[in-house]
Amino acid sequence: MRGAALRKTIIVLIWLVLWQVASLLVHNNILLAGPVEAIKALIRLGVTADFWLSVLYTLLKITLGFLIGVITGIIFAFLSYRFRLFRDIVTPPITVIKSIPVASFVILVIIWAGASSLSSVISTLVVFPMIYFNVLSGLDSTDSKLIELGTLFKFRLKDKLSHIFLPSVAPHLRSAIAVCSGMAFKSGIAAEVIGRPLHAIGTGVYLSKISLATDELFAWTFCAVVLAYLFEKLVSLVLRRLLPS
Amino acid sequence: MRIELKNICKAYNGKAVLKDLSLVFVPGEPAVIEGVSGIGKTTLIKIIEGLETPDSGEVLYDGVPNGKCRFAPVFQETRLIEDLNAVRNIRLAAPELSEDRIEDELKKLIPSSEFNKKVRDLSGGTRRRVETVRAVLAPSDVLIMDEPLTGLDEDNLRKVAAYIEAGIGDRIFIASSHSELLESFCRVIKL
Repeated sequence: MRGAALRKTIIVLIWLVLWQVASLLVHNNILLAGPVEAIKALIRLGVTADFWLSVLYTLLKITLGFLIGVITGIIFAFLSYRFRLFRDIVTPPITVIKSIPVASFVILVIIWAGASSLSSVISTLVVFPMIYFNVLSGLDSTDSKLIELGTLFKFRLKDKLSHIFLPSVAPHLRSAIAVCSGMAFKSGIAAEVIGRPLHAIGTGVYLSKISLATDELFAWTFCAVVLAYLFEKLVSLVLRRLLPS
Repeated sequence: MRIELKNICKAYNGKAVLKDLSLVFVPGEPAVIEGVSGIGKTTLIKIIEGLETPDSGEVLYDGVPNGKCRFAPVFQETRLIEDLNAVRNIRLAAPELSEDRIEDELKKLIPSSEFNKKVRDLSGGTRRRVETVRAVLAPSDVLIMDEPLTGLDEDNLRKVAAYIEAGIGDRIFIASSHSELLESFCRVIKL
């Protein structure tokens, strides 16, 4: 275990050294800032209140959008499973939402709702269809014999959900949420780059682009990667507690 | 409660399984359905439970098609929530009963050392007996059992048959079986 961790650390260090060497060879901070410049930029940004506000707002908005997407996805999937007509009505638009490029949605949301709630809406739109289709497929694959058992014995709703449907839905939900938690961050921050709301990581990325500050771009990116990683870990921890394996 | 089957017909892939079958089931007249394998015993039970629809004919519950009726079934193949123990499985069907009461009933058919095991770890015969206790304890109008004595050894056959007979109460009882043990207290319906 310790050997594997050491091996990983050495590999990461090798890549960092290669990155630094490449930036020294290019000798142009606009084309390629090295890891040292990126860390300096991160420290420079890190002492400003604006940086932490950006991180906080992005985190809160994307988490909110993610949670709304998960909850509505689950509710819509159950309604679709229960009512055939509901499924026939909602599935085509949800399929469309799933295939529309995020950039198109970003423009529409800016027009309709403004930039401030942009990353929440976009992460909801990315998460919702994936949760919907995965949970629905879990519900559809529930053992029909157990459903008959619950129906004839008139199991209470909470018992039906936890002992008949949840074991079938849980693996689908778990894998969908694992994929979605990363996607919510990527698409939410991409939306911020286009919409540029006040205090947002995406806005920081955009400003570093127009001022050609590649070191700051890397610093913001590093920050986004760390946030997404921590968020995924937190979500998987919560899932392990809530869903049976 | 009265269940009436009127002119039931059911065919699978063009082969008639049930032909113009009419039957009446009432409390106090337990019934066992007999016939060779594949003749339609399970199909008939599923039609009574409302899990299958007949091609023609109707099932009346107290004179009403699709009327209200609460079943306590034993299925042809064991259906239990595998990750729960016997007591918790029974509580799902009879939530108002206390664990002590359920354990007292289970003791009549299975050793108490089996109570805390997940049902997936129990033998086929023990699982079958758990299902029987569950059906007998569940609040219901109709006790309906598809081959309840399958997979039981000689000693347990008698115990389970006696347990079922004592547990029917004022409910309708319908079973499919090849066993003479049920014939002793049931009218026989030959398919």
